[in-house]
Amino acid sequence: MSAFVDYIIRHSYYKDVNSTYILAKERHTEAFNLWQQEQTETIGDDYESKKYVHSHIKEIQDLDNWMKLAQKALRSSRKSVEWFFYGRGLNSIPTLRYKEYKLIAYNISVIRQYESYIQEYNNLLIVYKEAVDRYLGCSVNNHTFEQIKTIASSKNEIKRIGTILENAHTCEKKYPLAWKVFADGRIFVNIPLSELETVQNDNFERKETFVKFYEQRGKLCNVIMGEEEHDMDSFDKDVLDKEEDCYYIASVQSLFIQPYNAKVQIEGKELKRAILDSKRYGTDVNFVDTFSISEFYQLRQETDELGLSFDDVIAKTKNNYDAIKAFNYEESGKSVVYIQDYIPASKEGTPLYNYIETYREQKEKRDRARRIASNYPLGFASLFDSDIDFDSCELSIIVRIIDSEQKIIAKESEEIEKERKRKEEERRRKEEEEIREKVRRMRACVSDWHITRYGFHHDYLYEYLKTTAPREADEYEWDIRHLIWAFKNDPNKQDRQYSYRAALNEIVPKYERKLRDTFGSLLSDMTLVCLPASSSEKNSRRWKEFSRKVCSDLDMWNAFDYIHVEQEAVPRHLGGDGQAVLSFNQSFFNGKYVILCDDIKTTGSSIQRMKYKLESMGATVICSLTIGITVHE
Amino acid sequence: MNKKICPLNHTYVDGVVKLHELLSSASQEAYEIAKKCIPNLSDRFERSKVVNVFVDFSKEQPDNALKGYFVFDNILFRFLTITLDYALLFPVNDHAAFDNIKNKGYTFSDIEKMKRDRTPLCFSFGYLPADQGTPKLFRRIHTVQSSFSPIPISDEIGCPFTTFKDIEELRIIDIPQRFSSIQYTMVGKQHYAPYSTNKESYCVLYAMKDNEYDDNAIKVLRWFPVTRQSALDATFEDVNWGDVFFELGYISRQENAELHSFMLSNHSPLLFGKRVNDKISVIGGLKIFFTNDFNYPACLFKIPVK
Repeated sequence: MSAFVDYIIRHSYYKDVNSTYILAKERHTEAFNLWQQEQTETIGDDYESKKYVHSHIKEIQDLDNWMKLAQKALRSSRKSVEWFFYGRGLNSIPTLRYKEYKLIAYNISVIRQYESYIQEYNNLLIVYKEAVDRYLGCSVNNHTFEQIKTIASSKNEIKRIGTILENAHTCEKKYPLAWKVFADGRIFVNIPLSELETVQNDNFERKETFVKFYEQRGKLCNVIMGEEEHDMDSFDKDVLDKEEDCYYIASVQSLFIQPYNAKVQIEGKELKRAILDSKRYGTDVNFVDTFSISEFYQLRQETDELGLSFDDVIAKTKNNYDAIKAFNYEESGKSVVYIQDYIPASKEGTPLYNYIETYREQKEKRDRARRIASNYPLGFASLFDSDIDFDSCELSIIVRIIDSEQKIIAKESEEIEKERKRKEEERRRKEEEEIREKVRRMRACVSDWHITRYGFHHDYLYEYLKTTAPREADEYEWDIRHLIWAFKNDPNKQDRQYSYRAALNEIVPKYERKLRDTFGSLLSDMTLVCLPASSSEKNSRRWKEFSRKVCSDLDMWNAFDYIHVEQEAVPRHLGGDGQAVLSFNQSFFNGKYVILCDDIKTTGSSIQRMKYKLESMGATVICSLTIGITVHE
Repeated sequence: MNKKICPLNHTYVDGVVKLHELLSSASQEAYEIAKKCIPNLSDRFERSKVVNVFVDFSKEQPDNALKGYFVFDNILFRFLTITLDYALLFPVNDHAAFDNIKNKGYTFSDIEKMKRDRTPLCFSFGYLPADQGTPKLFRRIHTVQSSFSPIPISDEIGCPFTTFKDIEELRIIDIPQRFSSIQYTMVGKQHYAPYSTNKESYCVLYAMKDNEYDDNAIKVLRWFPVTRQSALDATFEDVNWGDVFFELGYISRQENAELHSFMLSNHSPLLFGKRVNDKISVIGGLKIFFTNDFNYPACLFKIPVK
């Protein structure tokens, strides 16, 4: 009925009741069953039972949570749960019901504390079992919950004890002899912790070393430490320090002072140089190996007595090798230098020294005589035999040569002057011969030329028929007349047929060919002298370009610039002599080989005058080559 | 002193330079040993760089060389010997400046005369004042006779004696009154350390087993005891002179037989004593180290004690 009413009136409630029931039964099954057992009423599947469950669903859910907490606690540390119930007077965990679960849930923090104690205890027990036993003062396998709590709460103390024990065990193993002394017959566990606390690694190491040493050399230890009874068992600092000193002293090894013998001695050439204080020994001089060190010392003594350095002695000996050799040659027939000669060579008064001095003086004289002969060979040769041997000739001859030095010098001057003159004459003669030869060759070139009435060779390019000739000139002759007139280039008589340029072009090649064919390479030594015209202007117009061109082409000396018309010629019909006044550069013409050139040769007197003039200045006139020659018919 | 001698602007003969280099290095080496034996040796040598060599011309000398002993801090070290070529003593030229006027040295004749005179001399090798700071040759050489002032030798250390091969063991015994009450005569000082000047010293008596001249020979060794505390304070890396014995002489053979017999028969071949002039009183065997503060000599450490 109730279900029906609720279904009708409170349908949502009805649905909640059913769903809560299903939730409790299916989702919290275990808690629901346990809760159901605790209920006085029977819980069935009817609606009233469901309503009852619905009204107590909170209890069921709480129980479910408690159960989960309890089961978790049991899983992680059953012993801590056990310890919890032990605290409530139970020796074991009771059957868990609603009340127990609730108890566990409400005290879960206590259980967790127990769990941490147990965890800490277990950890300590693994590492510090011996320390735990020492701490508790007994050794048991199962500790009570109170002991567990005590152990877990004394973690630091137990760890400290553990460290002490570990250190003690290390020393026990590492230093058995020292430990034996320390333990004094007790087993480890019987040694109080307070004693074990004093165990220090360093101390045990020292004690161990000492005990070992003491076992071997006990008496020596006592002697070293100066006491017969030694408290071996003590680990006091003073005792340990003494023991350490003892075996440390005993272990000192570097005790044996070896005698030391310093050798400030050297060998070989360095020693020999040191003995002689000589930089030259070994380089400039080497004595045989059989010459002993004692003899070197003797040598040094002798040089000291002489007040000389050995290098001075070497220098003296080397500078007089020839004298010493000569001395020995005279003495023993061997031309050598002995070691034994070094000192006598530098020691005044010895036969060798005197010999050297004499030899040196003679050598100086012979050298001086040789120098005189060498410096004044002509003077020397005129007075002495040139083949004289200065090294071996008698000294009297040498002395005579030296005494005659002034005479030799004077004779030398004379001979030199004679020789100079002879050479000068020879040179001059040679030059004249060369000139004559040259002139002969030049003249030979013109031997087939005409010979003028004055007796020298002449030739020409054209025959010029005088205008006063008894017959008329033919065309060719007229042409030549015009050519020559044009060449004359007289400003008052300009030719209408030829210009001066055209005349030059006609004449110059022909003139050059004639000279080249005649003289060839000799032309380079020859000078072309064009007979000057009557005035300076005419002279320049006629000859300047012609002579420049010919000389340039034939590599001849050009005399044009060295003859000047100083005064114009006055024609005979005006009362003059028809000859210009000329000036010459005389130095130029001296030594020159001259070819004379004129426009027209009629009588040849002009050429002859010029020849005479030039030869008076030192020139040699070889020939004349004119442009034309006057013919009368 | 170990620096190579490189005279600036000087051209000495190479052999001369080498000899002086050898003297320089040898004297430094000898000084190091001397300092080991006598840690409180003054540093005069290091400061002055003056090398003193004692030559006993009364003894036979080698050919063309002199045999002498190093002298440091006026103490003659009999075991630091030096053999030097005559050439080291000769006047030498600086071949650039010819300074042998300042540096006379000794000629061969001078040395021969010294040998003929047979008078012990101390050669002193020093630098010229101008050479200070720049190591050059020992060009200031002069001699000092032992009887002259300043006295070059104030004491002498004999040769070190540190090996006791024929001693198998030492025993700690009591010395009978009859031995400790006798004063034994020491002889032979003039041979082993003639220039030793101390009148009183501690000594060690060493009963030899196989001395070829005397079956009962007891050697006397000079001993400089060091108090135990100072020994412990010292660094043991260096040998302390108290740890080393130095040869001094022998017990007179007229007096040694009974004591020698006692020492060997009681396995106590080493006894310790005190010397005043040439008289020695035995103060005891190893047992003395239980009753006073003397440091046990390190040269005895290897000998077992029973």
